[in-house]
Amino acid sequence: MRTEETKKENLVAQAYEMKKEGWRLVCITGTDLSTDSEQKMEVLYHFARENEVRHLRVETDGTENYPSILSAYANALFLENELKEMLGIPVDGIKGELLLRLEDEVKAPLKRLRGVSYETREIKVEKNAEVAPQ
Amino acid sequence: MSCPMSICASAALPAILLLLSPLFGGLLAGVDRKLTARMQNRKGPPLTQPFWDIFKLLGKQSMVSNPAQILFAIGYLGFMILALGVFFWGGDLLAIVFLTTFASVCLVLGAFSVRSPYAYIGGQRELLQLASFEPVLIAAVAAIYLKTNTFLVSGIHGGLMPYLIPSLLALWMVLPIKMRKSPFDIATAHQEVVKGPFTEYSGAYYAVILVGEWLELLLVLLIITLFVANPWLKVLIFVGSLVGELLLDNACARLNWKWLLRYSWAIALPMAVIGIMVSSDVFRALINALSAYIYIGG
Amino acid sequence: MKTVIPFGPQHPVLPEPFHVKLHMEGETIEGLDLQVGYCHRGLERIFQTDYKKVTFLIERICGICSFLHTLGYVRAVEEIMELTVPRRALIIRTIMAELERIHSHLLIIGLYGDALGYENYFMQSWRDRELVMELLEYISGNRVNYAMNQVGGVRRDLDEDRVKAAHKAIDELEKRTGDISKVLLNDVSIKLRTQGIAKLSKEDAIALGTVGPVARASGVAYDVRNTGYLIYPELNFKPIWETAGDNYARMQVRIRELFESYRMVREALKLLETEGSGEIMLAIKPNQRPNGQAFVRTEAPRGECFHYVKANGTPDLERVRVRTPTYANIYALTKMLPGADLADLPVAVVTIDPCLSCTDR
Repeated sequence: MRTEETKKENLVAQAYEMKKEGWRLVCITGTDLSTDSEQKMEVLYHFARENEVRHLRVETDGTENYPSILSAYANALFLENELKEMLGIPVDGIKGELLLRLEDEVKAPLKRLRGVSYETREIKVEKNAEVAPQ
Repeated sequence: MSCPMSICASAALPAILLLLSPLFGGLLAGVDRKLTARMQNRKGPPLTQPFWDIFKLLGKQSMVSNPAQILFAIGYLGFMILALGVFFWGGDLLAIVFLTTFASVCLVLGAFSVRSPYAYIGGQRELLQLASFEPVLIAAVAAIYLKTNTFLVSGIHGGLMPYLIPSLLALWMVLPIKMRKSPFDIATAHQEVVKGPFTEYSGAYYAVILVGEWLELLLVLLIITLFVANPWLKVLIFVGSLVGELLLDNACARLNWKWLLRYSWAIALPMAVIGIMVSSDVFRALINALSAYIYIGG
Repeated sequence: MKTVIPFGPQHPVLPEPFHVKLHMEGETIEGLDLQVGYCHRGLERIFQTDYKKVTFLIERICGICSFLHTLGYVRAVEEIMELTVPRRALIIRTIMAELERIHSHLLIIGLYGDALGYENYFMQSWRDRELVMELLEYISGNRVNYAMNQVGGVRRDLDEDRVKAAHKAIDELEKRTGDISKVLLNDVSIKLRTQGIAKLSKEDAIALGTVGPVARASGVAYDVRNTGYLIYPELNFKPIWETAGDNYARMQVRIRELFESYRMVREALKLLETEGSGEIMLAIKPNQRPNGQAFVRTEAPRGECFHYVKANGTPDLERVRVRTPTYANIYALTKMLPGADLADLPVAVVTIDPCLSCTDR
């Protein structure tokens, strides 16, 4: 599988171009590649046109603003929502309330913490806990 | 033939019939379910299943949104019992029609009294069904009156055929609406509005509504039997209407409310009006004049 | 009068939970908000484990198209590991995939009858479906979740008896489908309820990225089986499509696909008979691990299913991504339904064949 590197600044323009050429957005895949030393995420955009496929690869650190291609591809709505929910990537204009029903408890289940463990469950400190002696 | 007549005149038989009517209505519902199942090549529940349903419902917790619901549920059943009573005592057909209408209105009001959107839409659809069914029924009753000069059930002793065939056809056409069967079961379309006006009833109050439904089915089929005089024909038309209706139910998809109105007002109602015309004296006079004219002219 | 009606997550017509908030004007739908996620099980996180275990885990995404999920996944892993799967395994996979399509289509055709209030039709269609489910049980031992695929081949062979049974079942099914298709395509009451309703234009179908029968009913002649995986090129597969884009056309596509599937299963069974027995499974060394990434598209009964696998040479996979057909199709409801009646909503929902367990994973 061959991927084409691209910058996230060029992403939206490239998406428009691909739409004009008749490419269909198949899926967006986000993967957390963070290690102990650096935080790194890759986002793959899979496009298809009849029997051909193309994959755009964008790297991001997962914290700064990330462009949305919703204006070019309407079906990116669910996919980008999932990107935000599962990996915590702050996609522009996306609320991220699609799949996870327990927004308060579970945050970004696919996001890595220091490359090893996963931030799967962030249990809120209850009020009573503050009163408890240290 | 004088013996049965004398019993009819007494009050005992109608009272017994009325007491047995829930039993008979329940069996009718059981037959309905069994036949439907056999038509769909299923085994189906036992004939007594509707009664078990009622017993089970009576044992369940009865939740209501507001007390008005209880009133309307009991009102529905009460008006149905009254209507059936009037029928068995040989009373006024017009009164029966209005009592069943009151019963249906109770159902609609019960649906409107809660804040459930499904009950609300079901209530609206029930009103539409009422508006489709009642005019045809009233026209049929009017036709019977024109033919027999009485609204009393006890005053009808056959002789309606063949003049009232159009009225009978019209009644058959709108029967699915009253029986809540395809293609016109829109008020209780469970894929769309769950259970329509019944959605918010549970437990004993739903049982009350169910018994009311059985009686309604029984009453409509009994009104249809008025059209023929022979007892065997009465049984035949009773069973035939039920089976024919089930056949239609199993060979049809559900239509929507637009089709309901188009069908009942553009086809069934004109047919009922033709029924009135055919049975009226004016029409007969016209036919006589026409035949006389042809005879003389010929 | 304007009302808001909550449709789902629990509703008689929905086999699986999702929520539609309907903005109504009387009985007419003005707009709707979709909410999925009631079946979310975090499977994509659980998939970050041993690649051999994932084959059985990924089967649990969905009960109806479970074979397609394993098929997509093992194809992706085989592509990464550069394995050449034995030919007999490919033929068996094709047969299973098509049998599963038959089973899924008969299921949704039945539900379609139910959504239309046509109970008799529903019963008949599901009775026919029993035939193909019994056949699948005979072949694999299970009615759903067949556990047939494994990286490198399939786990069970089709012997002579099973091929014979399959031929018999397909003949019977074709006859019965002929009967039910006559009703589905010609019944007046069904036509009144479905023709010209909940239309999806070709432009919208492309713009919203719809796949499978939903897209094909709107005139997009796109079928992944055309890309030539498994042995579809040998079976002369032709995509089936309609142009009307309404509820009727979507079911018409499925009915016609059934007959195409029967034909292909028959030809594949003949291939099995003529080519004789052979290997069905590649031996994989215990220390052989996938390293790399692959992107695979498979035509599930509901449309194009997408699997992406990224492995890094360790036993655990780095990422498995699944984009199911309903995920792509369900959003099209917001374009189809405005202007339609409330009564048309269950039918339209059924015609996109929603599988929410797939969508939510």
